[in-house]
Amino acid sequence: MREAPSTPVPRSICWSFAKAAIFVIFGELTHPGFEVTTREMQKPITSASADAPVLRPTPGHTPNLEKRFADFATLPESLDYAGRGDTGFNFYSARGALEKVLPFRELRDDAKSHALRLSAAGIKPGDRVALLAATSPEFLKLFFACQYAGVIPVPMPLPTAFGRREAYIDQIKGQMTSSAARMVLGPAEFLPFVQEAAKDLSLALVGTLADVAALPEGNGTLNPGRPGDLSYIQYSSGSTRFPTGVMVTHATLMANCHSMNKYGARNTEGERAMSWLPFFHDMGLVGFMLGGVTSQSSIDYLPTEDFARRPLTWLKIISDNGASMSYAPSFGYELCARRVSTMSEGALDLDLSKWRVAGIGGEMIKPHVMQSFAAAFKPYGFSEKAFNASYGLAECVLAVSFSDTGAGLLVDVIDKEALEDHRAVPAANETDGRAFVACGKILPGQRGEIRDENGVVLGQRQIGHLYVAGDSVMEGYFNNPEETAEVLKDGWLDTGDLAYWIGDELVIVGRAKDMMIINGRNVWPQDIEWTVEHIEGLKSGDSAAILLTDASGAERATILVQCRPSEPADRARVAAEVRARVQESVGIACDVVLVPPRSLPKTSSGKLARNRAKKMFIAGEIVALETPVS
Amino acid sequence: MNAPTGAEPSPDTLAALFEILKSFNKAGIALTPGTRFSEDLNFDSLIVMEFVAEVEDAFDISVPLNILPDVATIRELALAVEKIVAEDK
Repeated sequence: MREAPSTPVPRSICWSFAKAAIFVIFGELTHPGFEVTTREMQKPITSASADAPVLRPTPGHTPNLEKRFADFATLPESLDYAGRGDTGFNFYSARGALEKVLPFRELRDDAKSHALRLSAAGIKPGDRVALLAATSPEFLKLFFACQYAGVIPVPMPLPTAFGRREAYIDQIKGQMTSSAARMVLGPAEFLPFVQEAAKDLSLALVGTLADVAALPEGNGTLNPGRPGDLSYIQYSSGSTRFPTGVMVTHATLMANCHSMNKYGARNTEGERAMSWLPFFHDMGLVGFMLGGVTSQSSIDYLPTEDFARRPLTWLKIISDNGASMSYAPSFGYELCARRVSTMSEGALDLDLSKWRVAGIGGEMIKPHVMQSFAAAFKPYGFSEKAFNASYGLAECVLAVSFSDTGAGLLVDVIDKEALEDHRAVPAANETDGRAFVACGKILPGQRGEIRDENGVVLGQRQIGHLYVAGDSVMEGYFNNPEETAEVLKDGWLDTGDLAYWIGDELVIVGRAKDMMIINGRNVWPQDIEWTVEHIEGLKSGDSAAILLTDASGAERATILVQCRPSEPADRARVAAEVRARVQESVGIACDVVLVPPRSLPKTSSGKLARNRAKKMFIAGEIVALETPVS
Repeated sequence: MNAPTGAEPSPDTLAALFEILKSFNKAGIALTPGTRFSEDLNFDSLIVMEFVAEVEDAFDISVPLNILPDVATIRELALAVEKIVAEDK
């Protein structure tokens, strides 16, 4: 039975995965390339072969199989159970045509047989196997083969940009090295990148699912692990240069999936989910893959890159299958709203009336974006009450807080001046305030505290650091006791996010830690600085990467660079080179500000004092050098 | 890409790409075959995908994701497109 919401008040929105990484760099959405078109909705769907049997997606539920919410000891146990039913995963093309169906039953059987092959190949329980996380049945079979073998999979990202080969190889090499992976598996078309990244590492195999399938099963046994064993390692947090892999055990995974589906999304009989979120991100991996397996829910998938090419296909699949749950970062909603903004009303053939939980995540929510989406799709049956706000981070598996479902969006507008004083005072005038959205209540099994700089627990509407404890908190970062000790103290996780309470509602206002979220993507200032400081003529400590807010309230990545040359032409060259190298290597557009040598502040131990540099620059205590535009 | 060294794409392919790029070239950069998507045009991943969708429609092809890291310039993209078109025949 669904439990009644405890309070009837409207909820605010913000699946603010403030810390969780999103996979691609999303830039300004206003360039003229966003030509609105109905093209993608009109092309006919053609089947591959006239003789091929007609594919049917898995049903939304299995009669006579009791719905269970992750009350299993381990992930293999949950797939064993899901495999008793008819539900599973369905894969769609960019045009919304069903291409592959993977019932949980088939996933279970294939995964078990591949698990035996991995064991026969000498991969032992506890070993790590890195997997390129394409949205495909192959990834899922390998991920669950690892589970049945007691092997720890490490999902890795796919490349998504023009001409950034080196940066991509550095990224996956960092994760393979940090996890000490023994094997790397992925789609054949991406293996050249893996082989290059792996050339200095000693690996048992770099190959595809087919390579694993060709191995003999041997006569070993499955080793599905115990609740305290690691289920997987997630690299969605941490920088490229200094990766930190979150260790997720079966126990924490089950605890999070249980509360997320039972008390968060309030998943019931017959629910159907749709997702284009990538498997190398926690929202895609846990929210819309492991959450599905552990609740026996069917999920329809559109590969992330196909969503980016044809965003309205997301809504078409929801409509075609009557999906009730789907999540996206705000830019996903923004893309769709823009696509339909100049179409005549009713131009699309969509029915979104069954979409019960429309979650939003990935970055701070822009309320006006959600309003424009709701207005644009109201004619197609979409209800803004479906918007659902929550908060989470990979260090807590995924979800920490959830709003009541069906309650819609509520914005808290607070006074800008009081905000700087760490108080969330409702603004006298809405236009002068800053709008934040609450992220719901802390899920059962977890606890939250908001503390000041001295560790004192704060009360209502006081802004401080959010700490979380309970059944979903990670044991630590893999092979990284220093970083673990930085964030885990006495069982409490320092989320690195700033927040306040309205009643028992959590409101996230920003990040206390260094990480920047730029257009939905996590960017670590250390990675920008590392890149800049490897430019000839610059050295370590010469740069500080900060986020500045411009007059319109938009955040811009800005790099302060200590510059020695005094000739205007030389300065212009340095600035242009920094801009180009950061674009190439980190993949973001940034503003470059040249500052005098020795002007950036250092800590007592000689490390860059990044936050102090930002404050000094804003206060005018660090003055920009005159730099002509090259 | 694995195109022969010194291979040049046909002027028609380049012209078609320049035409598509018009609406993506916010800063009005002068487009040449050597113009780089990332450094010169500031393409981020979202714009890349938007642009790729336009290229796919214009040439009636499917551009695989795995070629992108090796394609830095308009010339390289034109060669890649021609290769895909040839393979599709």
